[in-house]
Amino acid sequence: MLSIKNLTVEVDGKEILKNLSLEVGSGEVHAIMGPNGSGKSTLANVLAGRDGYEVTGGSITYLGKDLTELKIEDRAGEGLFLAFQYPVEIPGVSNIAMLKAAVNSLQKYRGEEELSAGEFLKLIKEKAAMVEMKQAFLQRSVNEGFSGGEKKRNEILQMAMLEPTLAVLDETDSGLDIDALKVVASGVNALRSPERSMIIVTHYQRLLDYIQPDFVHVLAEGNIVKTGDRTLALELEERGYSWIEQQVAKG
Amino acid sequence: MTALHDFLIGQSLKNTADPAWLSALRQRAYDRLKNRGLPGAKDEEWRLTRLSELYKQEFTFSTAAETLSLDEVPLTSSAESRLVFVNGAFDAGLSDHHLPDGISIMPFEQAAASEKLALQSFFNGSTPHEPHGFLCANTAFVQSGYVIHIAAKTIVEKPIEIIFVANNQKVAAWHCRNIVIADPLSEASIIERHLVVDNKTSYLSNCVTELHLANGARLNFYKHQHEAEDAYHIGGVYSQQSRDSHLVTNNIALGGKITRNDILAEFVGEGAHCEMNGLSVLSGKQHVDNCTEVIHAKPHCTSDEYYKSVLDDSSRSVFRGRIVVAKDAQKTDANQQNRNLLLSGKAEADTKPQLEIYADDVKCAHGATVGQLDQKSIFYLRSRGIPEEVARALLTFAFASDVVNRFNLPELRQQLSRQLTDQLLKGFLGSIETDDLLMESA
Ligand SMILES: Nc1ncnc2c1ncn2[C@@H]1O[C@H](COP(=O)(O)OP(=O)(O)OP(=O)(O)O)[C@@H](O)[C@H]1O
Ligand SMILES: [Mg+2]
Repeated sequence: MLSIKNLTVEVDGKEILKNLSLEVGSGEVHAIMGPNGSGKSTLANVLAGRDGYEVTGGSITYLGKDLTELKIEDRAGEGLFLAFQYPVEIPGVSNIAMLKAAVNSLQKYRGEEELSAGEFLKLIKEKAAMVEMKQAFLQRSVNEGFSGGEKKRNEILQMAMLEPTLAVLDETDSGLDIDALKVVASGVNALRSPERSMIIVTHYQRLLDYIQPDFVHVLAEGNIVKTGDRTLALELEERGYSWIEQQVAKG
Repeated sequence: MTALHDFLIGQSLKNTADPAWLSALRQRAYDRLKNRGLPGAKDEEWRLTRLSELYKQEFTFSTAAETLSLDEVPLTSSAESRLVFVNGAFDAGLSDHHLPDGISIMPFEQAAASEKLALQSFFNGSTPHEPHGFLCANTAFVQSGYVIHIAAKTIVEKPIEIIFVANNQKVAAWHCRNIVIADPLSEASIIERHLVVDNKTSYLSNCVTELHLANGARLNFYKHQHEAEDAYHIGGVYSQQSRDSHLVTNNIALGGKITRNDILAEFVGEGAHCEMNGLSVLSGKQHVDNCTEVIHAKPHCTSDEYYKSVLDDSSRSVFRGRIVVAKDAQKTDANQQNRNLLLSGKAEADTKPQLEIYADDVKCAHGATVGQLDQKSIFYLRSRGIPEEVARALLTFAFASDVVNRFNLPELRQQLSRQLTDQLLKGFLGSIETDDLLMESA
């Protein structure tokens, strides 16, 4: 589904990702862990197409297409979704207007009919209930004045509405209490299917108790330095990252 | 001198129905206009608004309107009390007022003659002592306008709507004077609209409104200007507030070729509050100049000014925000914000705060921004599959509707939001309804 080969990315002239490769197959869940500043969000942003993240080497192939050639909105049209580490607040644009615009834009991109007002309402009620979000939040400005946990739940609501093929979750669990974490995890698990893949960036093994990954990668200084199964996450939790960095240094 | 000036001073001042006080005021204003002329590029407060094209035009008097039916007047709300003026003249047939007790509404000419109203003690009572040429012309040649008197303690539940509509004019000019007298502890909302039947018509509407608030009076005033493409709208809202009064002036400019508004608020009693909201949404070569001034002459008064403009194509906005705090106006709290959104590289915004503070124990805050849409927000929306132009339109709508959300009349909020969606989100809307775009109002 996603094939990243020898990817090098510069931000403001500084090389952040260095020769990174990652293969994600259909239905797989990949966890990416790693120290602060190692480049996890950079990878997520490059996938989403953020301006200023320049691919200076390597390739990203998604569903057989060169992802870097696609406009930001077309990547979403092709089923890519990024849950942001720091979702922006957009005063004056209501959650519901954004979701309606998003859902209908995707329908249009795929050459399908827009949802009727009734269909949309039914869908959003169902999904909002799933992430335990009150209806009143839908009428509020996107993320404005939301608590950290509410913002993260809002990201999951958007993901649930857009039903992506490849979802990238950048620290969606950070700052959540255990109840909110369970809500987020069940939102993610509800979407798991053989056709849908996920990349989950996290610092905490705890999330992986609820969302079981097929692979765990360690990203350090712009590259994936170790890959394992979910036991790797447990080991990282106990021992930190330094032992891996030492291993890498030794070659 | 210019063609417009010649045309104006060529007009007759004789009006047999005038009471003596009005004739005298007309004459004085006429003399001043004749001697000093209309404002030009050398006047600091007019420097950025080029009127040379207006001054060159050969004007005529506004011609008697063809009969108009109310259906042809765009954008009327369900207000119960409505006065309609066509090309500056009162139209009794289109007007309709079911008035509650305690409030009277009448055309200016009728009010001027009424001894009971004693209009002479209000006329020009809130305007500057050194009026500019257009204000002089307004005094000298006023033909009509509305006068509203709200008796003490009267609470008017429904908004009062006044419609100035232009119909089928070729280079005509008219001068209207409106006066609102809000007696102690009265409360009302007034919507003053400036509309046009056929967008392809050209005229100069010189329309001055005076608001006189007595002790404890509360007034929500709206000026909604959507004049023709080729129209010049020059006017103002001049208010004077007594003790503990509360005024909100909302100044919405969506149409017109060149619009100039002088928005002035003066506190003559303690403990009064004034909120000034402004929104201009412009495109093409439209130009709006808002010259605002708040005079804190008394202590313990608060003012809050919030002006925004959205500028597309080669449109231009000029904002002046003068705040004067007199020496003994202690405990003044004045806030002023002017925010401009440039949607095109050719659009231009000039913003000029001007604070003159002579008291020491005051709070004065001001801020001005000229900027573009937030890139992070655009990226966020696009990452959800929303095409760039739709994302931009949504954010532009949000910027503008922020002012509309401050309005106290739900029906007007709805109506203006709808108009903004038509203007800014045309074609992109799909099944997004205006209601979806509206925020929960605080
Ligand atoms: N706009 C930028 N200009 C310069 N450097 C940047 C920019 N954005 C990010 N970086 C740098 O890139 C590196 C990787 O940042 P990134 O946000 O991808 O890390 P991360 O792994 O997500 O960290 P965290 O765990 O703290 O979220 C950091 O050193 C950061 O300072
Ligand atoms: Mg990060």
